[in-house]
Amino acid sequence: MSILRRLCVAVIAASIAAGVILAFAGSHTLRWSPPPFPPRSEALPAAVLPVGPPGRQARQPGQLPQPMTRSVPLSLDIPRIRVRARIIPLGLRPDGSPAVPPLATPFVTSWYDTGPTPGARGAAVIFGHVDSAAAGPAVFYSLGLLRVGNVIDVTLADRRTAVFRVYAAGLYPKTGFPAPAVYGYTRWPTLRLVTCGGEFDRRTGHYLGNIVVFAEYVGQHG
Amino acid sequence: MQASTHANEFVATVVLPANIRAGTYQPDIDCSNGVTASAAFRVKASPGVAPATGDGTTATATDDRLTAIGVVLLGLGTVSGALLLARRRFRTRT
Repeated sequence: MSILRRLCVAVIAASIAAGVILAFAGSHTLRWSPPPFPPRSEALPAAVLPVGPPGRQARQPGQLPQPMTRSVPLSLDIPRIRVRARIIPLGLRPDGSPAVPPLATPFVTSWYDTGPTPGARGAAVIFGHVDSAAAGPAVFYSLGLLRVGNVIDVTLADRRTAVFRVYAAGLYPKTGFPAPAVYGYTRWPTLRLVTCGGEFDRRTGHYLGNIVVFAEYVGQHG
Repeated sequence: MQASTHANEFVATVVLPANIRAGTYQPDIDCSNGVTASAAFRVKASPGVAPATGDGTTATATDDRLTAIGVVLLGLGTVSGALLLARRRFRTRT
């Protein structure tokens, strides 16, 4: 057998072996990392959740910026996780759960339009997809990376921008979703960003938890 | 109840129970001086759950790109091997 022929046989054998290994590895490796979630240290204790940002009550009214008047939110900007997204207003579905944008538009977020607008008194809630077959990681895929102190900007229809600062973030099981803390009234303008997270149940086709980011209004510009 | 800055007006603060049902309410306010007033307000339903925001793609999708490269390599290797064998047999016959 000539050297050239031996070389050909070696290359063919190597490509077959590499093909088998890659095909096996590809079918057993996740294409993306599962969505990150915040550590327990970022979550608020259950007793504090409904009250709002800690320390807010201790400050004097003169130290606080004025809440904004009602204006529909148009876009969301979160520099820490490089999110810039359009916001559409959506209400409730017939089953009583909040409506969200279709999975075919995974980079659009929705504002729960039955509640307050961002910057007005109360808790404004914005939902976004964590992932979608159409795109893989979606608009709120990295929401779990937000930490206390990170800034969130929401641009409103009147061209002003409400600025929020994260004061807590947590992963909550869907069976124990803190609905009063998310949707409940707060005396001070607050914002909640919500997406799915935690383990994914292949049987039901749903995540078992929700990531909720709690933020407080700190001012406006524009 | 508090006096308003405007004449013939007053301000009343009403604390609604947390378990109040959604709907329109019109409570009457009767003052000791005989004045009666009513104010209408609407209580909206609040969702008790979070919506499904994801289909699990990032938690379940396997790496199709690696698989595709592997299948292509496997195919190329198999075809090349077959061609090499066929050529060898052909030479052996001749």
